[in-house]
Amino acid sequence: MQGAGPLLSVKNLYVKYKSYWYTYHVLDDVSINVKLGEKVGLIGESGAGKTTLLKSILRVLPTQGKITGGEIFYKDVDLLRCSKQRLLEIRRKNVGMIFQDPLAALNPVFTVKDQMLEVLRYANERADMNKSDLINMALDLLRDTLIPDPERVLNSYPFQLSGGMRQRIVIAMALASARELLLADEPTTNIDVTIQAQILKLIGDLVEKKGLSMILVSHALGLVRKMTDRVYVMYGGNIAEEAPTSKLFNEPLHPYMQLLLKTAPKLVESPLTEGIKSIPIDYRNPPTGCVFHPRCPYGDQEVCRKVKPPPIEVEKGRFVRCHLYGSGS
Amino acid sequence: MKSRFNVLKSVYENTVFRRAVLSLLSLLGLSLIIFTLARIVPGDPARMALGPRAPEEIVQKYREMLHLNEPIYVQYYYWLTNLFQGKLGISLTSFREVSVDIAEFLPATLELMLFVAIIQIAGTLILGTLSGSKPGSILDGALRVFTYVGICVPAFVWGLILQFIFSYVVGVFPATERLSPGITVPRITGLVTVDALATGNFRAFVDALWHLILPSLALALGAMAQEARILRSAMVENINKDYVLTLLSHGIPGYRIYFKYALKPSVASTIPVIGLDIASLIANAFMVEVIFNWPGISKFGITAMLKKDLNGIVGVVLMAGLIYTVTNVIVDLILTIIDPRLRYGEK
Repeated sequence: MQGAGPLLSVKNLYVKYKSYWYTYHVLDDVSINVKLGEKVGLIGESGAGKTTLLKSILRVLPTQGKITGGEIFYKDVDLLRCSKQRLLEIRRKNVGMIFQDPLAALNPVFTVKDQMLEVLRYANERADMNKSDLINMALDLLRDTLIPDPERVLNSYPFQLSGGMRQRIVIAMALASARELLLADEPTTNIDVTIQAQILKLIGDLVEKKGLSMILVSHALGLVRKMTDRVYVMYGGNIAEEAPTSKLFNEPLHPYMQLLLKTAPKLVESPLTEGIKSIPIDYRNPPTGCVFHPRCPYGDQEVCRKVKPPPIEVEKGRFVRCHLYGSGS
Repeated sequence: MKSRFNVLKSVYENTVFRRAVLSLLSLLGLSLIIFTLARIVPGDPARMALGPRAPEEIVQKYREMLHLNEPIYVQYYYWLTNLFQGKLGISLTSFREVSVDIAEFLPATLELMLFVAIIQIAGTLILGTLSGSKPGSILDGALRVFTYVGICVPAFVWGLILQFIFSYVVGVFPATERLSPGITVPRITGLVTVDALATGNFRAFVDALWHLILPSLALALGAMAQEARILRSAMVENINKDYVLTLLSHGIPGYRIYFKYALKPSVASTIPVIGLDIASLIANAFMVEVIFNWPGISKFGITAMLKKDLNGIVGVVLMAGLIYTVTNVIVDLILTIIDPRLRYGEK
């Protein structure tokens, strides 16, 4: 991207998970970028590699995960090759991540206070900081996320709190480090439907208020449409399509995205929607050519089976990896 | 707001009283079983105590004195009434009150157990965490080989190896006994290191410590290796949990995460094993006590068993039972302190 240069740019990223017997090729040539102040959506079915992508950015993959190729630049810092200290600084003070499962993201045997103060201590390294300052900062963050009675919550153990409450705490913790970029990994997956909209709205408001850039991973297509400027569609460890939000939802190009939109329930017409013919991807041995071709309604052409489609720029800022939109040569 | 005091108070109310009652009952059951068992096994205790050349009438008299001709339940009744007066009966090997014998030999083993516990717990936590926080690394591989060897080699072999290397070849540590000749410490608690400190005899303290290192190491190594492996597997599982990755994503340094935030939820499976291993020393330290000429209770217990010293056997087994019970209570207390879910779960 030209101009001021992106805040975050991931180029040609490859990530593999290695188990004892198999190697899983989870991310395959993934490139995304986020400009300053931009809100970027990341959508795609479960297992498309969205979480892996976010975890790779901060280099917090589980131990079996290995980044085997590509570049990740945060501003001008090469996150894959910079010093350990530089990476820690960025994790502490620039980028924050909200993990998918609020029930799992808090340590069960430490109080909320233990965990929040630990995070805040490293996010605000100042000599004149004392414990009561940190507690006040923690309380402020909890108030920001609209938690009632923050003093009580701060001294509780996670299992004493509800799922929605824990997700708010996780958000508050992420905000302690996210001074510039917030990575929100399906922040509403494991909580009550009634709370989901509230939490997303809360995240949207806070991002707006603090002027953050954001990558939002979500299955709630309507909310992604409302909250983001640009969207990446992921399928099978690939970026299938990249487009400004309104264009993507009005006129999806990639067959996968077209099908995905059809699955969204509508109020009018028949409430039951058709799904996508389901064959989960085997990451040990991903399909040759276009990864989507076994499920694609147009996927029976030879080129789809043999040639991996390159990103094709259909119009400015709009890329699609599909042979329908140009030759693969 | 829960203060430390409240935490301890709730732990106390939840566990201690209930456990105390249950423990007493199980000790009573244990005494009944071992009392009966000791008398059912063939062999004539009175004859063995007095030797093959003692005249039959004296042996007969001795049997009557020990109530050996009466039914077992009557014998048990006598023994129990004695117990409530604080007496465990006369040992048939030392011809003294068994409790006097225990008081003489137990402290040496307790002192050994204390140091084994320190080495074992520190070693387990450090090795397990180092190994489990970077699975597959070179350090992890080396530690796993070491723990494998540690599990396979019995304690008495460790004892011999350590003695050979450190007292014979290198000569830094003494091979046997609790103190060097010429150094004496007045007996207060029976734990030489504690007594030395209490009397301000620092030289004796260091000397006693020096004597403790090899036998403690010999006893600690095997158990430590096994426990480190248990801790490692719990760690390997926990370091991929989101709550650990969350802290990583916030730039918390690795050592703080692994030695605090990943360690605490991981130790729960290791602590009961550590407790049992330490308690088991009361009987299992025998070979090491023999090798290091350590005047401990294991040696006394095994002698009692070989000589069919009825009161000695029952006394030693009961004391071992008591130590196991106390250890279990301590283990449970530690677990409730570590995991808040156990603490509040019952209310």
